[in-house]
Amino acid sequence: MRPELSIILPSIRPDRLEKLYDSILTSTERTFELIIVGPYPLPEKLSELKNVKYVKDFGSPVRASNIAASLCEGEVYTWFADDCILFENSLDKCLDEYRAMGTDNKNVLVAKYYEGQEGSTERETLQPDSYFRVNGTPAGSPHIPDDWWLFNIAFLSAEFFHTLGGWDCSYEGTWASHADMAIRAQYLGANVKMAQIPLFTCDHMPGGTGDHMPIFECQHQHDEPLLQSKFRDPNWSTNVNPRLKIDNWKSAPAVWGRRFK
Amino acid sequence: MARYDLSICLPAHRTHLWQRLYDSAAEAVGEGYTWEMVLVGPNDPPPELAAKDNFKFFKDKGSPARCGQLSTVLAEGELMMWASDDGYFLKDSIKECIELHEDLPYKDLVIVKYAEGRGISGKCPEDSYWTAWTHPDLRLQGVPEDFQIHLLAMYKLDYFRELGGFDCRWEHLNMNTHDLAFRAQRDGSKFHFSPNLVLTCDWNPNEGDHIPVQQAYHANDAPLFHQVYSQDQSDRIIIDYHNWVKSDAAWKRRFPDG
Repeated sequence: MRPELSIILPSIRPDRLEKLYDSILTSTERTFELIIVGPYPLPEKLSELKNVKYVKDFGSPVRASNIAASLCEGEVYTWFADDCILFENSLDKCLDEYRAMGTDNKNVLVAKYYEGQEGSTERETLQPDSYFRVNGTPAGSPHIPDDWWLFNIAFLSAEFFHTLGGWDCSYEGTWASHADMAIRAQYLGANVKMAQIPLFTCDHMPGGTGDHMPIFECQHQHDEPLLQSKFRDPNWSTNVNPRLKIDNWKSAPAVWGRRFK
Repeated sequence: MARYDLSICLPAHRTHLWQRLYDSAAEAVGEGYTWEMVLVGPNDPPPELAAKDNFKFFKDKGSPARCGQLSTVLAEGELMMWASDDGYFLKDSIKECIELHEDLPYKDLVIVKYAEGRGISGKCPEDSYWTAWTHPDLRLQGVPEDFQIHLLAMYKLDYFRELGGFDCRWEHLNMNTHDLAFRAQRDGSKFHFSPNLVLTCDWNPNEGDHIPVQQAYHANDAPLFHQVYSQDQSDRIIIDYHNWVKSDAAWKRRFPDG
């Protein structure tokens, strides 16, 4: 039977996956599948589960995400990171809100989350709406409407996801590729609503600390300049193709040089 | 530019035969071209194969058609072909197909000649074998008399995907390869024979792990094919490439308990 929800997860931290999976179980009673793409094998417990899929790949987080998306079977797609812990019932509440929006396949529910170093006050503070708007971030552009949302976390139909072709794998890190997808989706008429509850809490490594250095580097050296060059162009709506091929991950390097030599 | 010259994609569940298949592929492609092998099936690969850079595996318990289609989802070659894991490739045979493909238009493809028989005893059939109407069960209103079949073939991967690949309503990779061949020919594709026999494989419909395949043929695949192709199918060219999602995640003929 086709699951209701497909969860896309690029992952480099297999030691975090069991805890994440257990938190998903507390957050939903719906049918779901978890599609994990990354370089390291799954923990034994997860490898035995029927609703967990795995592909080995050493590519960038965005390439990994689009590979995972190519293998999704759910009616609704969402995604997050492998250092997240979901709150009890939070996925079900988000799916309830998403379903309440109606049946238009361009409906998208975006969600907030807590992010910060363990024990920090950041981790207990929900960011204001402006933090999740395109124009409140480095993705901002004078040619993007102020009310357009980011898709850091989003719930959208399989049909609309495939219309968009998922993420543009010319980005390396997920943040900029989510912003790019959000802009393309809203250009194509997505009906976006911000959920009223936080979905999860996750770690944040400032700057290049921990295993975050490759992400920090790609975001500043490559992804943000690419994003800005595309959408700060006054003619971006003419020059940017909003519909990509979902297999555009094939054009990204199979080994992400910033993390793997 | 594609990562590999060729992706060899297949549904597979006979792990003890995979090393033979992989080694024969290396001999069949030779050193002039890059290639990968993408296997999808219910059983984990041997560690020595899993460690190879040009070997991909994805676990799935679906039908052979679903697993075959999934294997093409993960492919990164300029060209693709499929095969069966109970056989082996003949030396230089794939290289010859790639060389032939280099001069072909985008939509044209190579019929990959194969032989099958108990204990890998089969002989390569005559060329007429690959004409649809040679086979009585394919003489149907929706099948033009001059159409060819290609039980195995080598395509440009992008073209295979544009056509939508295998229709996973058929369970085994057999009648849906005919359907794919007919869709390609309606789209203007021309077929060219591989210069030599490429793959030789095992076959006995009444033994061991071939039994579910034969059951699928009689219970679903042949009747469905007759139903579809008893009518004109002139407009049937492109299908949804994501159609594998509609087929069961566990193939009940092999995994009755799911």
